[in-house]
Amino acid sequence: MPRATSFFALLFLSVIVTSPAVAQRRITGRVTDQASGQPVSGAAIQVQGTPFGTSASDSGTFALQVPEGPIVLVVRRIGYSRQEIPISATETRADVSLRRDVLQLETLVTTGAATSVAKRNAANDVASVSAEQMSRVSAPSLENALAGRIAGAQVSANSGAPGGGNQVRLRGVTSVFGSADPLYVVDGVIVSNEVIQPGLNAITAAARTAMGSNASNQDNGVNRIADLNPNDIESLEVLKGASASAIYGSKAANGVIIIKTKQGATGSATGYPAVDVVQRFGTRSLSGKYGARRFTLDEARQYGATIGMSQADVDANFNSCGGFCDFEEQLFGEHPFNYETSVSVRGGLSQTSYFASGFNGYDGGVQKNTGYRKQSVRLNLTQLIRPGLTLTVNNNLVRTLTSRGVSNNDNVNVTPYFVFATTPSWFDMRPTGGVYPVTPIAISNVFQDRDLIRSPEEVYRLISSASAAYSAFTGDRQSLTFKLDGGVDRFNQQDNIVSPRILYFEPNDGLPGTVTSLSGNVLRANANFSVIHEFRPGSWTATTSAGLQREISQQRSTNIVTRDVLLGQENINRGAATEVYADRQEVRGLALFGQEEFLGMDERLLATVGARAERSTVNGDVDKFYFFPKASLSFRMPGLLGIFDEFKPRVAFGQSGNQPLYIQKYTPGIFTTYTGQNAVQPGLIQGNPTIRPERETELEGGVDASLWNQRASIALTFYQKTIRDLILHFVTAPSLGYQVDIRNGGTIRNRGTEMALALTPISSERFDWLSRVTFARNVGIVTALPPGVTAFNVERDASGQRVAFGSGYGIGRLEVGKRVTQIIATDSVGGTVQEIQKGDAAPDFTMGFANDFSFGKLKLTSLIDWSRGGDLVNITMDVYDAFGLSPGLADGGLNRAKRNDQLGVSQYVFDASFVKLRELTLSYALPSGFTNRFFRGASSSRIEFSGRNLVTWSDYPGVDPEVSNFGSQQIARFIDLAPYPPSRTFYFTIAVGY
Amino acid sequence: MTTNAMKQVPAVSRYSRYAAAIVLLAAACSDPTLPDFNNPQLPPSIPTKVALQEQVTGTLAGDREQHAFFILVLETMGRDAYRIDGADPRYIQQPLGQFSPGAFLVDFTWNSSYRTIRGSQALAAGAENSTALNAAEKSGAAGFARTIKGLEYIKLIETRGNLGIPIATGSGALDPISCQPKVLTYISALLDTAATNLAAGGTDFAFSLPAGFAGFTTPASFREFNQALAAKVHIYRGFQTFAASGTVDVAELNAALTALDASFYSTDPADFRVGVYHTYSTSSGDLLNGNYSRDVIRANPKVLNQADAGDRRLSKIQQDPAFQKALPDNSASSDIIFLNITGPTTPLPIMIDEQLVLMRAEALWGLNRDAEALALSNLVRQSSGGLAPRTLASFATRLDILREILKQKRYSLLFESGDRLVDYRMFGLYPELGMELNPPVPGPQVIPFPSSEANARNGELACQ
Repeated sequence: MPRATSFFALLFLSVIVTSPAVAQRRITGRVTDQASGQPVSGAAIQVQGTPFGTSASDSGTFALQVPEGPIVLVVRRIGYSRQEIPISATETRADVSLRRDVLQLETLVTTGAATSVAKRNAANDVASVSAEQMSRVSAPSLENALAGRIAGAQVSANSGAPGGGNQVRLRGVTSVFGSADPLYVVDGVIVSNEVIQPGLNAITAAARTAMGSNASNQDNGVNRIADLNPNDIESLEVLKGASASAIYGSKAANGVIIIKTKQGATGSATGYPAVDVVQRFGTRSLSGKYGARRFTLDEARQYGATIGMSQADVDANFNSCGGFCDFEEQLFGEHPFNYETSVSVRGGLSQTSYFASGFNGYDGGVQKNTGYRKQSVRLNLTQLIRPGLTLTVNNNLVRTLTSRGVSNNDNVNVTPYFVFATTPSWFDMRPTGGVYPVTPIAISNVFQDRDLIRSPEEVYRLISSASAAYSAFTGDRQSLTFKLDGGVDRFNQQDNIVSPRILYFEPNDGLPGTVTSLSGNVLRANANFSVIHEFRPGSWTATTSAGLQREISQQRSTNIVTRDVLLGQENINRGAATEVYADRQEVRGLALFGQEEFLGMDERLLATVGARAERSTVNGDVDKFYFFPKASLSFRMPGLLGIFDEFKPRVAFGQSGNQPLYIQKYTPGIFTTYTGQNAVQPGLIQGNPTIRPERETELEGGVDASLWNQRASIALTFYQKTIRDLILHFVTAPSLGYQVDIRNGGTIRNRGTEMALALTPISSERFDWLSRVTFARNVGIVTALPPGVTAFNVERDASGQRVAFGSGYGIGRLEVGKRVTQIIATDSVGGTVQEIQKGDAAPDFTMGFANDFSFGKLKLTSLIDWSRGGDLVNITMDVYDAFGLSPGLADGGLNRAKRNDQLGVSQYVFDASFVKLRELTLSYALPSGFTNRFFRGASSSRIEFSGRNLVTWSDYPGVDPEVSNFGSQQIARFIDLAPYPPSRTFYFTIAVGY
Repeated sequence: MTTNAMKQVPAVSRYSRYAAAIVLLAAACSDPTLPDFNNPQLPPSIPTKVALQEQVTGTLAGDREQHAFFILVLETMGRDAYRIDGADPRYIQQPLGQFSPGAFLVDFTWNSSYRTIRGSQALAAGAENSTALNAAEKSGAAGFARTIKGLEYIKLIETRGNLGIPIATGSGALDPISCQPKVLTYISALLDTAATNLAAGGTDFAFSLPAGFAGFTTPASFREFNQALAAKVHIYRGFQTFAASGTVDVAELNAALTALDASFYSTDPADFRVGVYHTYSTSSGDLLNGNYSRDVIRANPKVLNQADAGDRRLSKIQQDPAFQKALPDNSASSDIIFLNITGPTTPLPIMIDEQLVLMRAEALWGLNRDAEALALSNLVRQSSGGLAPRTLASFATRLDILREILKQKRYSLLFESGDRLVDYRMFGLYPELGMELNPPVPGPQVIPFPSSEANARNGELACQ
């Protein structure tokens, strides 16, 4: 390739020759908040019309090399209005006070793979969350900080277990069998949000023997975005649909979450880097209980007789608990000592800047022996190599260790709620003298399980990215930049479950004692090359960008389950009966993209057209490029009618896709062994060798306005998002010899309204009140299914695992003209058993209310999340009912369960509306005298009391209206079965800045 | 444009050319077509004997998949077994109350059988087209495949009875639901074809069979198993009008006797346990006998209550208050466990000689050869039960003789076969099994179609 080499040499040489003269003058200054006078960190300072820029340190200071002559400094910071400061040829000092930007007009929103634009011009409603909002209250996973904050983002916790496990749904259901997750991009690297299920199925047998003992989707696994340290995040943007995310192509149909981590800053006033130390101490307490039936002694004796317990035995138990053992309080009543230490250093020398952080935290659960430990170190380094050539390297190493206990569905009576539901509340389950009483019905003991089962999950993860930006050319009228960036996300997850043979439930399979060893290895790597050309002939700017992206994704997992293990042995090699499962997937793809942005008429008009063409090895035709276009238009009207400061109508159109999953093009046979002989059988699934990506088309329109001198802003958005070519796993007639047929076909249409309102009712020197309200409503309808199909049940996921327990317990069904999230249940209608619609899993609307009050050095912030409508099937209740042990009813729900005998389950479908106080923070900035006395050398300090999920108002008769037995699911997210209960978290924080 | 800008333009366009070149270069190198790293893909033909072996074993693995479950559900319906499961009362409520078409109990007794039928069709067709096999080997493989296919249909019609079942043609389109008589005729023909294939199968199969098939591993000896299945179908055909009209098909019952003669039928009590079994193993990727679950599986108390005093076969169960297990509304309770499933790898019979002896007794009874029928029943009664034989005179009615045969069948095949339910239904004696649950209900005689099957057929489930 001598020719190509010479291209590069030429390219490099010509750049050096044509680069402008090196700047000589140095300007220093400090950025402060106009209202409080406090320093503002991280502000971007740029010399207008040039690439010269830096960012302010944590103490607000900056130093910048600038060209000779008069210049204009543009100072921007998320959360503040931008300021333009003219600097004469002789000035060297520039102090800037920034005004809070209620409207978030200055936030840069991503418009393309390599470009962004100020939000005030944006043609899409792109939500963004700032670093300060992300880290207000410690959260198990970064999505928790999004709940209630973003119109159109529904964030639900799959359980209350420590360590995360959330589903983020952006603008409704966008696929049926495809990935349910948004695409996460961290500093340009597509990172994994994979859930590698921990393999609890080996002891719970939740998925029964049909799946063997391999990990199942009922294992309450964690989606791995939880590994990121929220404290490292500078900004987070949410692209909610194809009109904004088209540029990410066929992985973007569920939306894209773009995360940028904090970067270094040069030129602190003291000459030393800014150091932030945040120490938190906290605890948790159980916040939701199911309850239990209360017995009189007579009732207890009667109940005891039916289960073969002697009266003396009943009486002894009854008395030892005072008639009522609150199992939930006994097991989930822990108040762990939790802590978090976070240290960051942000600094730089003349050509080098860095951000380094360290984190160590422990978040214990409300059940003993459950908890989440995370350690993270990060180094982000930016080096100016030559004027115009910048190299940035970001490295993040994370280790997490999670113990989440046993929860969710269970067929052996090990999950706490299964034991609670089958044990009358007068039975004293607590161990005495090392003896765990055997529960009379379930033959189990939750305390024994809690004390003896170990299920640690350890993850080591490295996310590295590097980018080189090369301003090949900067002139008055045009500039040309090359960007090369890429990165790797690599992690290993180890799960080792030990369930000793002395546990009461263990001998039931004839092979007492279970040990598992699960290893999951994930690699995501991508590289991008892009060219950005900016052309500014006069009053308008045309930005052309083009490039390509190459990506590889690999995943391997091995799960070994061994049984009949001697007591005390934890080695996977020590069992008498061993099963091994392994899975490997690999995907490679290539994308080309191009985009043209036109900003004209005094930055009032923004028009964009672009497209991405993409091929992937998961498609039936691996060589075919699929084309995803986009176009958008927005027009700012400042000072409209004298009422509005700004008024901007906008419209955007785009397409994106959802790739087939790795397995969907293959027709897998089943490989088993039959007493030592290899056996191959036809599989359950009929694959499709011509499979193609699902295609989402979104049209979004709306207005953004600010009024009353930027005291209020409103963003109103309407969208229609249509997903065609759905990849469907049809439930076929099993008499065909297979149960699932994979085909492209069918259409879902989501229509929705979103509103974001921001107000500063009071804004004065002493008192500040900022209020934000978000509203979102989405209605998803199935508008078409392939010819000849009128409806089918969504019973299994793409890998053949069940996502529902059949219509007997509520199931999703695609049916033309019906809601995509409808819940179907069997019921007796006129004496015959029928499957009928019994509810809808999607909420009618969601609202968020965020209020920030500042009173001098005191600050109170709150976040309330309201979800109205949406149903959940409470199978936990069904289990309690079956044994007559539900609370609040004289028969403990036996009669309700009787209806179940007659095949009706509609009584278990409940409205899951809720209002949650997600966050509450009271912080106090310590006076400087105090700061100086207690923290030598510190420039600021504050203390803070904060809490998360403090109050839940809901009529839902279960522990929590958000839970999902099958984890994150596009359709079937409505099964409540024996979850890990939710808890409140409390933190006390001391934060010191140096 | 200033002169400066004029100079820049060519520079920009030159860069663009380089960039375009890079993009095109990268786009030109295509990605490989990646294979399925995880699962075997079933080839349309059978290229080698190793592949043949894998598919043969796969066909048996398909039948084994829900074999224990099939016995559990039918024995629950036949009032012999209970699975009293704290986590899932459906195991009791449905087989003894009413089935829900959406429940796994319904799926599990349907789906894997049809998948195995598909596998056996692929095996028969693949063997025919294989270049690795000679004519006898092809014929042997086809005979094996069709026999197992017949076994699947027998299980399906045993669970669905008069609802009928689809006869799978493998066309890819939905096959109509055929009524029971048509299905039974079809199975007879299928097993006959298999028998013909096996007869032409030479002295040895081109594959081996698992340990549970010991003694049935050649085309000739496997044909004895084929004939045992054929006899069962002939008996079903012989009695199919009996419940409604009390009539029998004499030709079919005689055909059953003929088939039994060609099977491994033996009246030597030492041979009673001889037959074909599914074996289980704890090794990786293998299957355990799901009916060994001492925590939840109990015997229906009727097993003990209705037994003749001193029946030796009661050693298959054990009663102890320590085993007490109940649903809280007392709809089912028992303190009796099964001892004949001694562990998770205990083999389960598919068909054994003792069953054939009693099947012959049923057929003879149907042919009005009561003395011969009772002699066989007494043989089992004496040698397996250790009980005194009964005389013809001791029976008040002819039907009582049949009841005695069925009783011997119950205790000899306890928790090892689904025949009890099928027989009682076939002879119109189902109500005699008694009521269950609280309040007591008669319970279902057949398992309905799974909802997936019903939905795919838009609810049109009448048989033709």
